[in-house]
Amino acid sequence: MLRVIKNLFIGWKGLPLAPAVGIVAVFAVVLLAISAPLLAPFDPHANLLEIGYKPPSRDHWLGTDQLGRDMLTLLIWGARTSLRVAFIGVSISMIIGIMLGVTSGYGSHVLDNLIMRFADIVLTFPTFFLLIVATSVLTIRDLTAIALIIGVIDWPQVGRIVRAEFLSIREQAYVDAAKALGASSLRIILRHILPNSLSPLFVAATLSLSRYILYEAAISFLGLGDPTAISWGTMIAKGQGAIRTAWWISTFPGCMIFITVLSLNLIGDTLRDRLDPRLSVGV
Amino acid sequence: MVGIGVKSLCVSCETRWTNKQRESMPFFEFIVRRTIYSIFVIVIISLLAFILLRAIPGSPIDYYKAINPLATEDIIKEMERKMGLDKPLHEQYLIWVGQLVRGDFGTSLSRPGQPVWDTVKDRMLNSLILALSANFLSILIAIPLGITAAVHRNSILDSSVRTLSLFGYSMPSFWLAILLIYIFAVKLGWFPTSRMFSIVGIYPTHAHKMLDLCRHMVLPVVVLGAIGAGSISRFVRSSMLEVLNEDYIRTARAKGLSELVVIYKHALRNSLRSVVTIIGLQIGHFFSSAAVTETVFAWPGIGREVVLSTITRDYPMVMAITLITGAIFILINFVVDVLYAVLDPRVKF
Repeated sequence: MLRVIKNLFIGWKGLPLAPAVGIVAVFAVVLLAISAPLLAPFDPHANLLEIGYKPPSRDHWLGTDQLGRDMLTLLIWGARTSLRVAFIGVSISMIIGIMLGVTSGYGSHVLDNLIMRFADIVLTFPTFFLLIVATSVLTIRDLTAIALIIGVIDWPQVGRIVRAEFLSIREQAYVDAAKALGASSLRIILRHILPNSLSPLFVAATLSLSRYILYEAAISFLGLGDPTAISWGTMIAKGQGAIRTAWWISTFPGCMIFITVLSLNLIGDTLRDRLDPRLSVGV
Repeated sequence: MVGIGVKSLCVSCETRWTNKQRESMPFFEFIVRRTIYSIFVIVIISLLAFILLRAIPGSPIDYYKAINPLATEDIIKEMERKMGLDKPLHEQYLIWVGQLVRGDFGTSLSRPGQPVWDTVKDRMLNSLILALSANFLSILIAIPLGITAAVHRNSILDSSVRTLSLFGYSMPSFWLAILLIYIFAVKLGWFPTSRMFSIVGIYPTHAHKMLDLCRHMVLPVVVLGAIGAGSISRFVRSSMLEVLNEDYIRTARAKGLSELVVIYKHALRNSLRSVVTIIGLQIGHFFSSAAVTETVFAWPGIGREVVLSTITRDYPMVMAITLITGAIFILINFVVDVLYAVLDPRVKF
């Protein structure tokens, strides 16, 4: 895995500026999320109504929200929510996608047809639409449940990539060689085909992360997310009503979402352009 | 389902030849096959919708009990019989399907007595106005931008277009919406902040009403259009780049055709196929991402209705919308596939 990542990023003449900036920004957000309890200057759950709606000042660099909570603190904790949902979501869609994709690309023709037609049906609908309907029937709205739903709905994208890779790699000479040496199917899949199809998966995962962050924010914005979590989307929704008097409440969380998603897209797009020879024509 | 016959052949100058070829293609068979497939998918969706409807906690009876706390056991039994909830599940499903076929989606729970279909029809139209205008706007922005970027590849122009489109699809639409409301509605006062019409809904003529609608439409259409333009311009650029590398483009240039004709007649026409795919998908996305935009602008559309009826637990409404939008998405996919053949006669089904 590490070798694949290394190959994706290095091996060209230097790293261009755009993805480099993206990588630094993503690392910064991940760092914020991991060390939220240490970095955040205030208590994210404090309710001090008397200091509510305060504009950015020396004490509260980004101002305070309706309940008098420090915006900077909330933004740092929000990174945690956002990344948690995105990472769990990506892990789930990867696990389901890889398992079904492998079955489809290496298994029997009937199974392949069955799985791919099912994927077609799921892909008929925009993911976000399914997400709204699925979260609407949730009785327990917690972050893990939302991440789970995102992952379960979004697996066909991964499944298709894995299947396509398997269909082409299984015809390679080295797979025949492994078969001739008496390797079991499981060994061929795990040791020979899967490691060779990791690059497009890594790219897909990067782009999925950015999409899932947007999904989580939108779901929380609509009030369908975890009501107890500190989420950038919820903060924007709460700030909307106060936009006339307190612009900072919804502006800063939006900036955070934008920066995080933009950075992930910068990385993902650069990698995809390099992997896909058709898109990289003259780029 | 769609495979391409001849790879490197310009649609623009070979239309006559390919049209003849197409007559022999089983186009009719494709239509029939796709229709059967679509019906099959809709049946699956309806089954899933029905099972979900029954699986989730809270039934219409609970709702009835909540609004009529004095109802006796007998009255509740009677209601249950009236609503058909005492019959076995498969029978209930068939009755429900029977009603669906006759266009009866049941009555709303949050607006007692009002047929679901009336609300859905109304909201659907409002969303359609938004989605189509936004799609039109994003095509208007994206196609020229994408072509310019591809033609002047690696120039400053190209990188600015790419940066703009990256911004477009990285931006949370609801945030952009709030920023625009703050700037253009709150600070400058050019446009209204929300709703479809002014609260004082008295118009001397029909034209005044349309004008009011247009004023209310500007901001939501700009938000949806800008975000859509981000991904469409990227696709136009990459499919143009692909086409510009083809042999027939070199031939067209060698023939001495002007650059304008080469790009707009030959290259654009050939790259339209992949662009149509993304535009078709985009209409579907407008419907779903509109849920967010419509909520911000309090636009009485289908997306906002899903969210509202979700919060009020109006299940018949949620399920009707799921089914109808599902059917619309299937229809869009279908139309896109047929358009492939119209735009690119090389496509075989």
